Amino acid sequence: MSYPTNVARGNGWRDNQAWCRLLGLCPLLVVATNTVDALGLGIAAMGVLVTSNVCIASIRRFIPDAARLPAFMLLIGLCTSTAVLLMQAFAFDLYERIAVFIQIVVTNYFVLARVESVGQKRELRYVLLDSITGGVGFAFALLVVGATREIVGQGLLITALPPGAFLVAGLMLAAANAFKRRV
Amino acid sequence: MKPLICAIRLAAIGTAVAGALAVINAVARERIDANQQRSIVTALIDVTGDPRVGGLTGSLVPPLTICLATGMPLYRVRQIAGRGYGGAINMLLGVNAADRVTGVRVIGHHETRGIGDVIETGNSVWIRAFNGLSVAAAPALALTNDGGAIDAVTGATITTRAVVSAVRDALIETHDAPAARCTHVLSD
Repeated sequence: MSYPTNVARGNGWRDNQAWCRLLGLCPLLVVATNTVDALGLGIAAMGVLVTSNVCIASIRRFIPDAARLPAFMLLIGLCTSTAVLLMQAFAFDLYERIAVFIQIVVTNYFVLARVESVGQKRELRYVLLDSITGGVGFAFALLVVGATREIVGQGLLITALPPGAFLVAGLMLAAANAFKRRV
Repeated sequence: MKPLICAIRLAAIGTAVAGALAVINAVARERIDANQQRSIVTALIDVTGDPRVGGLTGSLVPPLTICLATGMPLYRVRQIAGRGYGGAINMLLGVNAADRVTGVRVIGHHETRGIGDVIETGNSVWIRAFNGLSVAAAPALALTNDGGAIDAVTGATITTRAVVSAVRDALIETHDAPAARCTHVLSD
């Protein structure tokens, strides 16, 4: 198996941030009540993940090691604010529904985790590959939860309520684990 | 690395980030303002039921008193809030010169999706039940559960009661308040 395929499988599926490391669960559980909102947040989170990783990878020699966390936060904050502004400019209706959750992507540990473990250490090419596959995996997890809750919630109301988020996410986790043994 | 150099580099990154954000903000601002204005205008047309309101310009932050060119007040629009199941329910309330409701529209809430969101115009016509009611109806302006005339919604009693009492309180308050000065004039 080629190297990029391997990374993609690892980040998007085997070590998916959402269902393996259980990172970024707050937006996963709260926002993903329907497909459109989930996809919107997924794409925004992916954009933040990719741009902040690329920013950090390209100036990694300039970032002082002792003060790297504040520097990372500044750059992730820049990417998040940019995503917020772009969404306000080009997808205002969506923004009005999920505004707060876009803004808190900045504090989401899954971005910082990728930056710490990959963005600051590896070559730009690898960082790009890693963050795109990781972002797609996270967006996919959001989409699965959102779509399930929207469809099942029509008949089974509990799914649309906050406890339903835990149920659906838990089932997704179980399903992913069961599948992983075979794939 | 010496602490001083470390601090200087961090400051440089901070400055660069602030500068980049200022540029992006400046580029996007015009579109964002236009989007916000459009969303306010849509809401105002909805709560007054008068498409002429779409022609208003300038700051449209409530409370507004919209008048004819003759200075006769036509609509008063104010922002009101009720305490729902998930926190504040923010609404726009429009009343006409006779203190009758021209429209109520929810502009922000945290009610349960699929249940409490019947108060949104996109999901249900429930909130249109207020249209045409006046302060004279205020004693009857309550849910059917509470002896009033507004239909309660199964599963969403707290939410709908919050909306009803916010509207009732606001109607009484608006009725008792002295006539406000015109803030906007309709040009036809």
